[in-house]
Amino acid sequence: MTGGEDLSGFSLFELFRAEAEAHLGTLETGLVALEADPKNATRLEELMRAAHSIKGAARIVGLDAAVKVAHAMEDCLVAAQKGKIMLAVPAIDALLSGTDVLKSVSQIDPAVAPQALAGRAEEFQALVVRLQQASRGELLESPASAPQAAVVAAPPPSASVPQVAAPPVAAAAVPAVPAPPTTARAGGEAVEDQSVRVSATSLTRMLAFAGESLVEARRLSAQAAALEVLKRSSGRLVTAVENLADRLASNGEAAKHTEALALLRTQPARVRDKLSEQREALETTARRGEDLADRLYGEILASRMRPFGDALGGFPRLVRDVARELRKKTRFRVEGREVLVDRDILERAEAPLNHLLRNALDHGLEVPEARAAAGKPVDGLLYLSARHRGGMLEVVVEDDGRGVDPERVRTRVVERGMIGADIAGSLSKAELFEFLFLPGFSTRDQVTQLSGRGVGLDVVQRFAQEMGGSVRVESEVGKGTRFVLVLPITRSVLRAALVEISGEPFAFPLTRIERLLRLEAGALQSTEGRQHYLHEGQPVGLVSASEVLSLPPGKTASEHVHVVQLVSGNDRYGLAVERFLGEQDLVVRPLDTRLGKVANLSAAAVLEDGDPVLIVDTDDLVRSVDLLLHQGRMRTIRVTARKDEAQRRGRKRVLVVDDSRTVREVERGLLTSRGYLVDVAVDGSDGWNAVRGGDYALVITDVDMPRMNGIELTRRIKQDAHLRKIPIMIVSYKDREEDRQRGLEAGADAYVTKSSFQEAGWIDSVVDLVGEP
Amino acid sequence: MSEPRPPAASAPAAPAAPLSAAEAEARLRAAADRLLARAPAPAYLEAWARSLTRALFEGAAKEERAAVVFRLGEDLYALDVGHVREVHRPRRVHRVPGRTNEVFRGLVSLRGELVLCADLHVLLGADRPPRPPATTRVVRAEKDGQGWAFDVDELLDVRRYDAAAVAQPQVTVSKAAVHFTDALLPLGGEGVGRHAARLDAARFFAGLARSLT
Repeated sequence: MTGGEDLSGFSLFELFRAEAEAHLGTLETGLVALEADPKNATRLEELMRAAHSIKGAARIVGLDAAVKVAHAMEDCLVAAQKGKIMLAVPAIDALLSGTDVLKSVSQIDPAVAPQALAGRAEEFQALVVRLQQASRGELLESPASAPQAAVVAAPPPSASVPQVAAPPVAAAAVPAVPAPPTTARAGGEAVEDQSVRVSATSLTRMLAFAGESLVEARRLSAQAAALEVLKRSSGRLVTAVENLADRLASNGEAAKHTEALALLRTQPARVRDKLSEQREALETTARRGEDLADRLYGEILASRMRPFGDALGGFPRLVRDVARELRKKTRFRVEGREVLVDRDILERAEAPLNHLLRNALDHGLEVPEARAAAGKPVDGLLYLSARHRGGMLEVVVEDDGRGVDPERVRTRVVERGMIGADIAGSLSKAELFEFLFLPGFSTRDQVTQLSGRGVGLDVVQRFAQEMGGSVRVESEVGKGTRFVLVLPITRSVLRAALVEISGEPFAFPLTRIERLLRLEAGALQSTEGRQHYLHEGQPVGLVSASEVLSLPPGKTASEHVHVVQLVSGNDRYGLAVERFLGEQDLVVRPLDTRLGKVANLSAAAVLEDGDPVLIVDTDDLVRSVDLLLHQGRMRTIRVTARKDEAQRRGRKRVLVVDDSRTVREVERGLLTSRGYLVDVAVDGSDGWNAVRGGDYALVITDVDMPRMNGIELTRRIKQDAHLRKIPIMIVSYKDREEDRQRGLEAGADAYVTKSSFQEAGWIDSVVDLVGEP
Repeated sequence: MSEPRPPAASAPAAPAAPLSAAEAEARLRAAADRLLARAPAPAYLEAWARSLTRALFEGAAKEERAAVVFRLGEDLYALDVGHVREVHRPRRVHRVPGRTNEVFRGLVSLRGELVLCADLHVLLGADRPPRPPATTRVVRAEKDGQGWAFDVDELLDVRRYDAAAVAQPQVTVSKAAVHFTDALLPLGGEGVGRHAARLDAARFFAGLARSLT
């Protein structure tokens, strides 16, 4: 293998890594495509070049092992190019294994490369031999059914086999094919846009400076406008002089002042003309500066965008391997590779898309026999597409498999006790499919075709929500399933409505508000201290935005009430603000990490005038509004409660504290259907307020929450002389013993994991703690 | 360091006329001047300053340091220049709901970057003038990559001083400030006995950070 060379010539190795990354991508995608079309000359040529380039790059950094593997791959591809062999599945497998090995080598820490590579000498040698067999057309079978098995089953690193790789042997086995001349290569290369790596911090800073220069350039226009005022007053001076001269002339006194008048006539006019000239010049400069700053700004923003295809590197390979493993046949089609997407979103989309593709292969597509029996083409169709639609990016993962049966979902949901049969009966197909995204939904029952459908789909949904988008499922039984991810095209620019709250500007993402309303004061109605107005005949609760944000109320000069109407699920909320300030495209800046998650806010930005603005997290805000209204309703409920005390007597009230709306609703559903009265709080701090104000038989809390976590909440309740007798159940994703211990030490009476929602056991343990409702 | 402004290049908007050799050379020179007149990176300057001054101060066991001196109410404070990034005219501060408190006031935009803004009058317990004076400036300071902006009533000076010549802090500044200061810098010149309280960077920035929790 390599001698005792020091590979920590770091920057060189970095270069190798970057180059290898690009070529390995080409190899992986190309090899999979080649399998379907083994004689494609252009593709063979492209692949051969990629292998050749990696070989060259590896030689420069002294990675002999990689050189040998790449060389054997190149030989194999050259043989195919010359028509000496046909690349069948085993050969493609060997080439793909080679790609894997090269990838692992390129990611090695250069400082330990010699030792690490020496340890894997046997693995490399075995692979080289397989590739050589392939290039002679002698490789008829893959060593194992799963293509990656060769890599996985590599012999354990053993220090006792140093320097085993025998270059002379390898050389002898290589058919005497001269390396293609390099010159041929340079010619045919498609001209591609070169890219450079820029650190994210630098890019953000460039954006900030470009934004600021835009602000400055706009100030210049304002100065040009100020000159206009000067020009106008000099114009008035000219008129005044003319009037004076006329009057003197009519008095016959003009002759006495001829010289002075001549001066007065010419000078102000010259001042006016000069000012006019200067103003125009300044305006032109300002306009150019603004235009330039604007373009600079646009260009820097655009540099954040990458084609969708960039994220797809590993997918054809993934689909091929998973399909082979599952013994399914599939055609994988991708559309919209050139669609531009923000690099942040693209990077983070990879895992969820990977998940959706696996999911479709595993649970969507049927095995070939079943497809044939159903009268479908044996090859299942798997389709991934991206496009811009309505200012959003729409990514679709679609299969033509068996589909999801809404009736099965309905049954499962009722079986799990998530909702009552009566409610389940009235749910639409779309509403039922929402359940597929619940954490851990349908993990157990392997016999149903639903099995596993839900595993991890909550991750996909969380991703979509974090990005400010959404995901939905469409499916026809027997025809296929379609997952539609709707994401913002960029996270860097946001079209927002600006409003004034408590004297300061705040921004609402346009996609997140239903409408802006300017209401007459008379349109407001009040019941029991709560205000509402009618929207399409339905009452919408109105709260003051400054109250929700805990800011002092601001002043309004208007006789109207300015309302931002938000919609969440089936609920509408009206948020009263002081003024509408218009719409603007904002360049989103994350909030300083030192602030942590700030309630009700998602990010910040700088306005066109250079002032800061905060961007509202509407989901969070809706939760806060809900809570505010809910607390109000709690007060009202207590007033009416006395009337039907008899009916209510004995029913126990439970407080559910969780920052996930889904979990809250599931818990609320389970508890309500069992007969408990339920209040909810969105985090520990809200829970603490609620528990002091209410009369609860039980508090159920999550652990990880903003503002105050569940452990702290538990501790506080247990330290309070009046509240300590309330039993507390902690429900958490964390199932390690130490987490459990931590909860119980804080004073919790029970600690259960969220996965237990699916079992009847959960509601039983509630009954155990507090008795029947 | 004098800053010779390069002669303004002739308006680039006038094309057409072919350049004479002399003009071309002049333009090239102007471009080169501009390139060379660019501000060097702070780290580069610092490295050179250190290497050049080492010879100067070797033998004389004098450690020269520099601090930015500013005024809050009646009190004078000094912060090591190494921590001061830039100074601006006052800007509008946007409160952060739920987070803004007496010390942490909100976000301010400086050169298009959003910076956390603190009230040093409160942190250091200095008297606040009834209305911000015309001399008010916003200072952007940074330690370990953590930036802060704060208003000062007046920016006085960048003062070089001998590190050995500082006095122990006394209660000449407000009590709250004592906790954040580690020495008194004699300012000399304008009247005997005038001192600035030197802020201990570690404690000062930790105090700012505490305002966020």
